[in-house]
Amino acid sequence: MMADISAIAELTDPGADKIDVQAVLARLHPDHRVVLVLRYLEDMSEEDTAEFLAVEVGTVKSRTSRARESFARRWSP
Amino acid sequence: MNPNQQRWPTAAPLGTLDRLKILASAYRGAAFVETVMDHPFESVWHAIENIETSVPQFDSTVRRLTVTARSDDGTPVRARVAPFNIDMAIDLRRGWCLMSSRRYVVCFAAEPIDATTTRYGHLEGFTRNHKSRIATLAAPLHRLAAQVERIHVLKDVQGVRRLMDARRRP
Repeated sequence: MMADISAIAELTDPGADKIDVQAVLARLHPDHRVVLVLRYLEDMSEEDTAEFLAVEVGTVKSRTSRARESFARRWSP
Repeated sequence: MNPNQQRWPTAAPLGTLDRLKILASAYRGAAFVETVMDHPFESVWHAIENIETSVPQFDSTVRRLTVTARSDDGTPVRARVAPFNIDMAIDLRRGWCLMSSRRYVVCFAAEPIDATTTRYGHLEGFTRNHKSRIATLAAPLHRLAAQVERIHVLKDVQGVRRLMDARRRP
């Protein structure tokens, strides 16, 4: 699952004609995409995510909330 | 680049369970359960991919699920669920089944861990209109709904296990 940071911009789902989770994820702001991936795919705690991203825990909380909202708005299967 | 950045997560295609986890994060009124089935992926998926027969079997609240539209290749694209009389859009692919209406979503996904075990995930619950101002006011209710929904989802997962165990018996 881990890859180089430069590859995140290429996070797409080529060939998917239906709306797809990964395609929606790819359209999120990078800050939002990152926090969703770390929190929900890597199962990192808020504290570990904050340390990983070198930000405050409060920032992780607010980014996570906004990322979930942003994903939900774009998700309309 | 510091070592942490080199551990950057995923650019490869996400598996069905990872997609489901991301989707689950967006549905505050829904519950998500992940488990491991002691059965090969092919067996699990074969048991649940026919949603007309499997859903009423593993979900005791569903009396009947009728596929009302199919794509050219026969894949279900719409279904009606009784007794709730809900019309749901279906996105059914190998290892992935998303059934969604305006108010409710059900999604289950499976992927192989190894030759004999399968990771299974199940998401279900009420959707939330994030564009609605009232949605913010209703957020605590959605959290409560998700807690209640978790009991339902756990029962559904038990239902899938029963389906698998019944198939295992001679």
